[in-house]
Amino acid sequence: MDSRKPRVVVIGGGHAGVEAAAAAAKRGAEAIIITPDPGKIALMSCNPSIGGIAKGTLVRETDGLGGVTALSADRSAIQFRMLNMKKGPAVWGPRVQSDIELYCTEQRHRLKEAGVTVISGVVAGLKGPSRRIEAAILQNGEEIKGEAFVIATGTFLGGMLHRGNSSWPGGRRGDISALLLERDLRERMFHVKRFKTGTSPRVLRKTIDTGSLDEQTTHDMEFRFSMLSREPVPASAEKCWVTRTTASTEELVRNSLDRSPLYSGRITGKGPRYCPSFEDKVTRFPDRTGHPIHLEPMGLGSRIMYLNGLSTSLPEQIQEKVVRSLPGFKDAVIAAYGYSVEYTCFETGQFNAALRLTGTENLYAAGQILGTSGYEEAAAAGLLAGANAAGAAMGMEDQMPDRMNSYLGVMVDDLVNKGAEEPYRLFSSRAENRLYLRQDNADRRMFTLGKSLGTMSSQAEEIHKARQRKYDEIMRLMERTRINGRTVEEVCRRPEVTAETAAEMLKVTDRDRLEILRSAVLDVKYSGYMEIAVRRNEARERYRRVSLDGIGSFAEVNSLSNEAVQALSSRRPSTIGEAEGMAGVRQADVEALVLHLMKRDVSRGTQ
Amino acid sequence: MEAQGDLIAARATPESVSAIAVVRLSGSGAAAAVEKIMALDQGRLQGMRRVVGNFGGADRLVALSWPPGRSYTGEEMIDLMCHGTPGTVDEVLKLLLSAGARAAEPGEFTRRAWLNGRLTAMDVLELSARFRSIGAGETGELQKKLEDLITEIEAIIEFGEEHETADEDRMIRILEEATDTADQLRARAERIEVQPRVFIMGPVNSGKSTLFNFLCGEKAAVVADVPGTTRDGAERTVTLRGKTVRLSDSAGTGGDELDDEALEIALSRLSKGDRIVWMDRNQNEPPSEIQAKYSTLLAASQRDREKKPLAEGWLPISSVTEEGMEEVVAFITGPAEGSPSRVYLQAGELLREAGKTYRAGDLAMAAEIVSMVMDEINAGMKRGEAVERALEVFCVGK
Repeated sequence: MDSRKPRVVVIGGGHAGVEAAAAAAKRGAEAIIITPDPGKIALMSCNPSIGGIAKGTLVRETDGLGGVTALSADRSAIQFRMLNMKKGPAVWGPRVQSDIELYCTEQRHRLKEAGVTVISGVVAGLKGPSRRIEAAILQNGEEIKGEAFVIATGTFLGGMLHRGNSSWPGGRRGDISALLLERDLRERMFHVKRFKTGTSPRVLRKTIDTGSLDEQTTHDMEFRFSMLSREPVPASAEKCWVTRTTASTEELVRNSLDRSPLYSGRITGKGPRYCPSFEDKVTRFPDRTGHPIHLEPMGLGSRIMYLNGLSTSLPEQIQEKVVRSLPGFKDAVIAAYGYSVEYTCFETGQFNAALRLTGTENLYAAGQILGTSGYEEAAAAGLLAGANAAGAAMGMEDQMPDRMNSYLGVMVDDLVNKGAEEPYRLFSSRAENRLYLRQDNADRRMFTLGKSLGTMSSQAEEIHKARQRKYDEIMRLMERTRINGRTVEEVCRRPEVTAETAAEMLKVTDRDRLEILRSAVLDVKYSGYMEIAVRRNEARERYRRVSLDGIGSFAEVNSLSNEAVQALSSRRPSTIGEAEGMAGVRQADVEALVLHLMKRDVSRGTQ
Repeated sequence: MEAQGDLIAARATPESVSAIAVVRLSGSGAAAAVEKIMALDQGRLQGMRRVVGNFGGADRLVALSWPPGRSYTGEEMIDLMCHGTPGTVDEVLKLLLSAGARAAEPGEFTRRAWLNGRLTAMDVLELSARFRSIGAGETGELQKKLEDLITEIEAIIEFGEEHETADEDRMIRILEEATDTADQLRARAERIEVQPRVFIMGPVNSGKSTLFNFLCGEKAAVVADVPGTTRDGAERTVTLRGKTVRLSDSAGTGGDELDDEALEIALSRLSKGDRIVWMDRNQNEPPSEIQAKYSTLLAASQRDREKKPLAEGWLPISSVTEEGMEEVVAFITGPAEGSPSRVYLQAGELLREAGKTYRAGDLAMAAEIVSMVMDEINAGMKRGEAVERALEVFCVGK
């Protein structure tokens, strides 16, 4: 019997790769990260911030599963903000400004604690049949063998950078691109597509007149991403500012569009609408002026500021003019220019909800290669892919998240079943069960999945259990304590009754229990809506499972479009759900299929 | 060749007094059945024909017949036109039933038309939308407002904090407009909708006729304390709270001695959408098929004398003290389950609640409420259930 642990090889050391390797190690595998530059492990390539609406909840979910991102985000935070505090607890969004160097250091610690090995190298291809990959081949010819693999290449896979009229291969400013690996994947007949993203110029802080700008207001609220963070949250140590583009900024950009690779036809990849380049903003909203630009320091006392909202790939000289047209930026000096990056990612249908690639037994993927964008999305997918890869290496079954139970589940289900037309970002509105998928109950929601993924440390599990016990106690207390003949639980269902009122009724005063009581009260208040969401989803699932096997020829189905007949005939989906996700099949076609099946059933029934 | 279903018949025009009323028959044997009740020669109604004649020796009847393959349903089909006077249609239907037809289920004609390829799926969906909303354009207006509203709300939730694109005043304005639209649609639907029939049922001598008389405001049925006084159901069209309601008193069932026959008769008179006031001073549950199929109010009667403790789910009533009468009238006149006016009524109430929830600082919950309204409004057009519901929905016109 070989005493060696099964090995999981993770290709890429970004936010997905780090979580994947840590999760694989926690599940009991030997985990190796291969990355071109180990000094840049977990580098924030874009804005220096983690969390946000839905995204912050996802970070908490990752923490609940035993991930590492939340703890490092807490320890490297230079400002904490709870977004959406006036819009309802279900959409509160914890978000931090991070010290990007400190974050990298923290994540390196996490990898070390988990026992992950980091190897410097560029993967040029995979060895072995796609069904069962045997090794990753480095550019220098070295082979890194493994029992399972996770590809987490981010923007590096076939990465191409663009600024002005120049384009050059690269995964990130100053880094090389994984072109050979991309070719290998294409040759292995995976269906791929090209996405695009971009980033903003960074400016030297001392050249900005911040005194003339508005400070970003923050809502002071104590929070930590991680259950493991015991130390007190530091007071907001850094400031952020807001400035606005002027009419001259916008005109400058509008007049230079022919020199932007986005508009000159150089970039064909699809970029995200929710995070548009500034070129897109002036083109799509010509009537709007004064777009807000957020100034975010790259770290505590950092000499560099990130200009959130000014993503651009215009030529360097124009970027300089654009930046200097901003109020407070008269003498600004750019430390690093903005650019766009085009990269390769998988088409819909190429992976399952455990993030294992179709037709393979031990090859998983996470991060932008799945079509997502964002550190938080990458990290959560990384954990899922890494833990499942370790499971596959040990001969265990894939574990999948549930869309009714987590944003991770929403994201994975969307990617697998709907696909992404543009880089996919989580929004709270994507969740049917939004009132349940809250940041305050993420640990409770994730416990079962965390247990089956085997990624929770014993310490995390202890904390989980202690919190669950307190929650159960409080629930019991709410059910038993009566006020004027009605239980506190019943009273809490009334809209005007707050958690604070309930706390008084139950005489709960200590901080920890109060926090859990708030969460419990929300569970009670929203329970009716949660039940509706779950029922609606069950109906949807039943309908999606309806078999199409009985349809001999799609050409015989009334009112199907020609395009749909072609698509259905060539791919032969076995259920309504599969047909629904296919290109060329529209909602009207799906309805025609349903009608056809019902008509057949009805006429059978009457015979 | 089209499939020929069994013979079905139903009233095709609303249940009210009108110059002409139409009864439709479809299925094999339609011509033969009409020939029989009009005492015509055999084969007189084969093919595309129009025959004017008598029935039951009293009234005039016009029969229009279509051969299979050329009718609305694709089957052998006949439309009978008679005077829309009270009782005439019932008489025609009664004769047809005795001649071998059965009462059609709501939507059954259209279902057959669809099965026989006379209507496409899209026709059915389109028809359903028109029936549901009594004017699809208006539901469309509400739908569009709700889409605008939810878009605005989601923009505030997702982007309001950082992108300044959202406008809460605008959101509130759209919410108010949507609420007004729902209210207007409800008022309009109420004017058009046919009120369902209300049956007063229950064991012998539970006070059904007393309630019937109370509601009719006169001695419409013979009232006596001798069990089993009302053998044949009395029926009245009454106006309650400004609404026209068809009220039926039925013979007592059960009681100390089970009167299965009376129950059988009562059940045979019921049709989909009817409401039942089930009266029993002993508070015994009605047969389960009743509660499963019809909207039922359980009334614990004679509470002025009956001292039994009240069971859960029962409304205490007394025609003497008028206890519970408010609730009975509200039940009788309320919008029917699944009717457009009910849908709009709920939509309006929910939208008002969404506004309150938003003002209480929970926009996310308000969004959930708005989504529920959208679900309700679109209900007839939802994917898998679309056609089944679409066909069900035709009962609105019945």
